[in-house]
Amino acid sequence: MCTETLAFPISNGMKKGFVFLFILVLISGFLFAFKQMYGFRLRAIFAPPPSMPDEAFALRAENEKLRADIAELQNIKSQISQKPSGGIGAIVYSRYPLNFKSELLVNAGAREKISKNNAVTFGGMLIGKISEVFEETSLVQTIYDERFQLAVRIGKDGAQALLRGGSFPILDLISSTETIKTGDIVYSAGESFPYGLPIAEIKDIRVSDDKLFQVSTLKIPYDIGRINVVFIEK
Amino acid sequence: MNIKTISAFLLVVIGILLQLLIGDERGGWFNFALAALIALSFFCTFFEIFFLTLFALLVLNWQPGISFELIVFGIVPVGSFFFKKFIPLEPWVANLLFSLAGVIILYALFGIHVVTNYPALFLGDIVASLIYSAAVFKAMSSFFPAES
Repeated sequence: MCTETLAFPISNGMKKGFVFLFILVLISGFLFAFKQMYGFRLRAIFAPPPSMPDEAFALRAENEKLRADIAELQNIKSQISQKPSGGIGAIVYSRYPLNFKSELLVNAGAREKISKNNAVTFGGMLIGKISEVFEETSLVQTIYDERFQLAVRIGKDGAQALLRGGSFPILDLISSTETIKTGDIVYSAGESFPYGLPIAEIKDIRVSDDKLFQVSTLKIPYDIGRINVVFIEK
Repeated sequence: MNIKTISAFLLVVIGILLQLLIGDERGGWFNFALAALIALSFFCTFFEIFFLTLFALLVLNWQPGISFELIVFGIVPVGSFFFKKFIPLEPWVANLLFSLAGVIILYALFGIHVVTNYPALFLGDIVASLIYSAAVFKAMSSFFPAES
């Protein structure tokens, strides 16, 4: 009788190890595919949300809001129909973890009647818009996302510009005849957004590469990585 | 579960922590988790690397549902596990090569605009990922044999 033996005998301990790993793989796969909320909680355990911005930021944000209100009132506000105010607060669950986009997941979705392109603010300042709506959550595309674009106005004269998102958002297509200066407030003027939401301040101004327009960089008074609660305008 | 698996798990957790904490604080996201997984593909069994990859995806996933970015992110370390046998180089060199290739694949598919508009960020990601991958490989090879 020929007795065959395995070249690499598997002990009972190794078998138990394989079975245990296999079970872990099944559980992880199930959670990843169907219960992402547990992943968000794990993430909160591993990397607790950073501390909220301090009082100094709150004062800066209020200052920006007031300056935007003043600029708006000095412009053609009376000719613009006011959208009804109202919205809800939402907690930031997670952030896009790579360099290719800038998105936040918040805990308000179709159930709370959130719609795509709703404006999202923090401290009264526009930080992005709803890009995708799920049943209980929504994705916010922030102004740091390369795909983000918004028509804006600058200062009390209301110079028109296009906000282009990215790691360093800029204002583009500013007419070369417009007079803008460092410190001028930038506020929203897009069609589907509430008019006059402050976004940032003008930081530096230069002529575009094609010499046809002015381009400016922005001074943004908040740290997007520290935002834990946002307000969604409906 | 043995010491090797536990060590590998902790190294992945550290990579995820670094990625999330630096990303939240600095706004720049480095692929430490991917670097750790690729380095560990030289030490772990298939089920170990599969579990570690799924765990990393579970924690890094930022939205309901599965995204194409994360699918590719998950394929890279598993691909490294299978393709390492075909690279006729020392394991530590193959590890650096796979880590570099993994980061470049992600940027080529999803972040070409970052390469062109923010090359410093792209290069910084490569350097940081390679450093962490080398550190994980060194840590594991001090106690366990690398497989090629």
